[in-house]
Amino acid sequence: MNFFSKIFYQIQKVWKSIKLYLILCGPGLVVMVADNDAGGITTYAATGAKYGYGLIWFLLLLIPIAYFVQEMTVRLGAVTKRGHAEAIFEGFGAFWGWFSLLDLLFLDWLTLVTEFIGMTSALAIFGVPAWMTVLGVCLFMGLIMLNGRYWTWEKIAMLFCALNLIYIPGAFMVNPSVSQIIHNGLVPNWPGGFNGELFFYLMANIGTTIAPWMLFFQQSAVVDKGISEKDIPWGKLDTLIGSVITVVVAIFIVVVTGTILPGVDIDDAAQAAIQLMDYNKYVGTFLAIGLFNAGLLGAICISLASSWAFGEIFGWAHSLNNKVKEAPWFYACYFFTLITAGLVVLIPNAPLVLITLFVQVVAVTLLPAALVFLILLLNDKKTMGKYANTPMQNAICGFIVVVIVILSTLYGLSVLFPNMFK
Amino acid sequence: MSFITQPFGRFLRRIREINQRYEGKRVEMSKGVKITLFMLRAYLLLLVGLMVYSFITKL
Repeated sequence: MNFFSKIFYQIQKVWKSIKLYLILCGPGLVVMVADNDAGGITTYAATGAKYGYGLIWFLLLLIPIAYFVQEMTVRLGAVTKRGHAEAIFEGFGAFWGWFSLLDLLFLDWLTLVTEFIGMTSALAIFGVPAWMTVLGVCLFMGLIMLNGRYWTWEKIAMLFCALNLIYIPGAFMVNPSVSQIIHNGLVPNWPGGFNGELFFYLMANIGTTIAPWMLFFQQSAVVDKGISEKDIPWGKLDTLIGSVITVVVAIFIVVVTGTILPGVDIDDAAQAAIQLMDYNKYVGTFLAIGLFNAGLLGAICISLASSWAFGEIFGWAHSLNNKVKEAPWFYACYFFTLITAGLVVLIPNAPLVLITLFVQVVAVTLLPAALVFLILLLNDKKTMGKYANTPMQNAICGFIVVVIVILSTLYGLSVLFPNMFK
Repeated sequence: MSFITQPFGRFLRRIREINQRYEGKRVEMSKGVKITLFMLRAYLLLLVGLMVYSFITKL
């Protein structure tokens, strides 16, 4: 009897923990899965097509990198109850604050344009005109925003996160060789030797895994959700699960294109989806649906990151728990960035490729700054108390930040001067 | 004209208020922090300079 009661007690305890996690999860999971946005899907599809399974081991290394960077925003948000923009203003003064805020606004808007490019090209495969996609997306995002509750918004966003797993059945349908995945993918190697092109792909994969908007978004989401110090372990777990899922999804995309389109140069994921349809209608359709979903999820999060940041600094009400009447500027900012970004895609002959390249360069300018501020803020013992970075965390995060800063700078330079690494 | 100048003036006042509110820096400006911020400033200037150079030479 004692044995069974112990088991029952343990099961109850685990079930209680799962229920608590389901209540507290969200910001980490959503931000990490949204990181696989339209640009990310294109990068992974191109990586698989170019190098087959050869870089899967490198993608696995991105799990701890993404986790260690993002978990810092959980601690910072939970302790300070401030978003990232406000934390920078308070910590380093108005100059660095305005720099970060305007850079974020500009970058978010440009990234939002690339999400619309992904969504319109994905639905164009099914014959949906671009104007209808833009209109439909704006109306849909309006509906989920205007319900007036953070909780509802988050759960809808998590449904789209679940749809991101569509690549997993797609990968099984192309019958990849498991032994080749293990042999070529899990053993560290430089497929085709280390050269400028490979370096460009490595940097592109890092660039899609850590983006400046993610820091701002997760910290603001932690504050809006009301996560406190005692919830930090759950926030960390949420971020870890999100990091694993985002990389697992990336690996399955690499497996799909690495199996079906090896050696093919891919410029965008929609092109890959069309080529995959020739092989298997369903796999190509899955990639197209996944691309649209990735763009939508990215757009949902990115437009919110800007509105939250502006609301914090200008002192407007800036919570998803506020109705439109209570937070008119917050919602105006959200819809302004959303609609204007959507309209850019509809301009005939708009320089969409140039915009995509520009996003990468601007991201490079903000990422090192955002990461440096993050580390400095996490070392402010006066504010962070026992949640400040430990020497070990500083060593790990400092190393990651230095590597990311060097690589992202080289990536930016390679975009500005394409012949530099050839 | 006042329908343009009034909101613009209000906006400028708001910016000034924000600048005043965040005049002080809460993070202690130790030598390490100062050096880091200086390096960040130099890095950004270098990168912006390279961007401008890239666009001028491509024009």
